Amino acid sequence: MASEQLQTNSQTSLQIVVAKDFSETPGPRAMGEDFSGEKFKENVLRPGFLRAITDDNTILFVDLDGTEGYATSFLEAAFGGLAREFGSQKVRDHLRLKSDEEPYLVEEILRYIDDAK
Amino acid sequence: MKWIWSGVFFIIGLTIGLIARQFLDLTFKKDFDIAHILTIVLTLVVAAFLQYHALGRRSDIRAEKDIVIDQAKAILQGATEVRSRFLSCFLAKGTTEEDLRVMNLGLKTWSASMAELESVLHECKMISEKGLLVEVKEEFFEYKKLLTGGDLTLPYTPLTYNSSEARFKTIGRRLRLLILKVNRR
Repeated sequence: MASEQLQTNSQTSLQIVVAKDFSETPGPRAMGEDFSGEKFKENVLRPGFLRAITDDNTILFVDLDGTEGYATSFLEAAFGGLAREFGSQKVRDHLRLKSDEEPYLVEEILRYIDDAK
Repeated sequence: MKWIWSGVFFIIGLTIGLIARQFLDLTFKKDFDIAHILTIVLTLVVAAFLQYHALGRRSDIRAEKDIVIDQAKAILQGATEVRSRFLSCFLAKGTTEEDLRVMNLGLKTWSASMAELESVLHECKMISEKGLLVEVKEEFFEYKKLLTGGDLTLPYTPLTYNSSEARFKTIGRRLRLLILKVNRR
């Protein structure tokens, strides 16, 4: 299973480390392709997010470091796709992103979440 | 060049001294005022202190400029490498998994370098240059979208090529302007 249980202050968090739980070389968008954004959403991100939203006090923490970079199509399919399914606000409320290696990546993903239609 | 100017000033000083000796009746008092001596010593100490700090500050600014310029040049270099891989995919009318891997990695390095440059500009209080970097960042997001946002099983279209080239030129212009602005400081 992709997500693991973490305890941070008073809040419980679920954590996904993309490089460990999915791939160090995330691919493009479509489901048929290796390590695609859709595959990541369906197999890793969505199950973790569903666990997070069953409890209002739970955050899904996504660590983006350790990969060889992300294609726009991967990010849009995964995070934009999640926002299309659950709504941008709900995704923002229950998701925390971390990228020490590429600080602008978080800003980029938040745009896809906000622009998801 | 420095020693030429030193020589010129020495000759001017000597000439003024000789002329003054001809026309002025200068005498030396044998007694001296300790307050005058202290004033002269203090003036010399202040002059030496100011010169030392002015030179130190100037070399600090040069070092800051060099760091910023090197970082901006590294971004330009990284951007050129990403573009080169994109152009070969466009010309080959196809993108392999390896091409995507190389472009993703190049874009990641480029993005990380911009974040690094932003923190250096912040540290050096170069506010107007930070504005230029924000523009580069916006162009970068759009450029990345053009290169890696589409269906990669299909070849890049001429429209994608033209749009990406326009973005790339803007990025290059902004970065070169940033280098010039930093250099003029």
